[in-house]
Amino acid sequence: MRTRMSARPVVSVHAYVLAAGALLLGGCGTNALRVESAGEIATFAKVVSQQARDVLAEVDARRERAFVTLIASDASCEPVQPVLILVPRAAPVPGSESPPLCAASGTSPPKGYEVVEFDFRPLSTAAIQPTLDLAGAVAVYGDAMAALAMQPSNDSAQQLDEILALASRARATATGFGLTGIPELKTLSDEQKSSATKLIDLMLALQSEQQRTQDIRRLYAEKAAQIQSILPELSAQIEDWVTVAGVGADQITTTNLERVYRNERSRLDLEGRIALIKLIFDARSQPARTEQASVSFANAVDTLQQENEHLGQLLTNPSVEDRARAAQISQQRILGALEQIAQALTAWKVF
Amino acid sequence: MATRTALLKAGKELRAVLFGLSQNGIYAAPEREGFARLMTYYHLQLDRFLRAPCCGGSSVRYDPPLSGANAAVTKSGQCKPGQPASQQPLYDAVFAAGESLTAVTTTPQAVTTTVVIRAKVVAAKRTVRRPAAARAAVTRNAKKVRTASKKAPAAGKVASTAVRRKTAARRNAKRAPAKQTVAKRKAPPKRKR
Repeated sequence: MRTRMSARPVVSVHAYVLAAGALLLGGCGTNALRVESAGEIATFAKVVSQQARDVLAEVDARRERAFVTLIASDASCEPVQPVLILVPRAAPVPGSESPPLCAASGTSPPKGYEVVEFDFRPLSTAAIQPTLDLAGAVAVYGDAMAALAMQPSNDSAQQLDEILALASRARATATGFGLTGIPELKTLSDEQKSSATKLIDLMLALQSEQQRTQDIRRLYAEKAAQIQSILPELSAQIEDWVTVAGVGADQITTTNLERVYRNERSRLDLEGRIALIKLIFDARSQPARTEQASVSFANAVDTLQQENEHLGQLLTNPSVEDRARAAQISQQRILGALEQIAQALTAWKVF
Repeated sequence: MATRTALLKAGKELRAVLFGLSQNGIYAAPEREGFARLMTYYHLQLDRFLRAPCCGGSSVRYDPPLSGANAAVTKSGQCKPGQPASQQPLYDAVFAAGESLTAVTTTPQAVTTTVVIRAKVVAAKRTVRRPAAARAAVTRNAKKVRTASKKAPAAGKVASTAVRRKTAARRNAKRAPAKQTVAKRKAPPKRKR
């Protein structure tokens, strides 16, 4: 059956594929880098928005720990909200004893002390909403980039079937008019189908990449500047939450544990005292660890910012390094395409 | 004009200084406990300010709490163990800094129970609304004032008085209930009679 097929139309088809492929391959290296960069942005944006939420949850956990240890640190305190604590307005006279930490409700504070509300309820939604909104905006941008960067190509097998169906219809119509130049495509061998699928795959991939690049360019033009301005603000807000609320809660936890030691050491045995001291030492180093969370977050934001800038550069004026990489990718793809075309030509017995 | 960021930074520094004093073994336990409670007090103010600053990113209103925090840090350098007189300026400065932070925090939830009660009273006063009839009367009077001022001679002192009355009535109509009552009393048509 293959012998019935004329070589000329097949060569024309391949010539067309080659020409279209060459056109698409022209800018394919840069487009590949652009899509890759969009994918990186999607990943980093996801990390940033998730880390922001994690940091806020961690700050809340630290606040709760401060609250719990404060209540546990003195027998005068009860687990109620708000806890009323006694704060000295006057420096203690040597030899004097500190009054209980918590004030009994409805009683006057001792002379020289003031009652202060210690309210460590979880951070209200209203308080953290601006930060969550910023993180949400970054997440939306990342999702949009991900949708473009990781968009699947069209199903080439289905495309081939459609092409074959169309070709069969065209051949039937042409035969009706007495034209016999169109080959019988139903009779394609597996090898021929495979080579055709590979070529169509290549074309579709390049076409899809080009389309995605256009979509990425549009998304970048619409949102990138906004995201670039949001990121420093988000970073600053997270730093504030960590260093003001988180570290402060850690410091309070430390002083609470020290109070526990002062109040309980006479009742504890050696092991108990050692365990408590270790707990205090660990609490003392916690503020530094908490601050590190803010540094890690800032680094993640920096990375996202840099990648966003990189994409902008790739879309407008790729750097020398990027051009070199793009050329390398193009070269590899052209070689791959030529190899596939050669395989196809062999399968279709053009040579 | 101080920024919110600068204020938070100064606040963190003061809190760190107080924390450091509470950890310093040269002070007696009651002294360290005093510093720890001062630190807790100041942190609560700073935490509340973080969550609800009154005036955005920068404001002249942030100047007092900023200078207060810096002053308290300076006072901490004068503290000596076993000498309450050397520590008292720090206590005073921390409370001053804390109170000035409260003044730039919008949350009605307050620091001390006294302030809580005061805030509740103020909030209650703010929510009092005049009856519908009284509000309607104010609107009517304001309209009368506008009409009267239009009819008034358009020259010399009389005209300017009418303009002043008109402006005052409009202003009063927008003000709190008590002021609106004043506007009602001053309505020109009644005076003419």
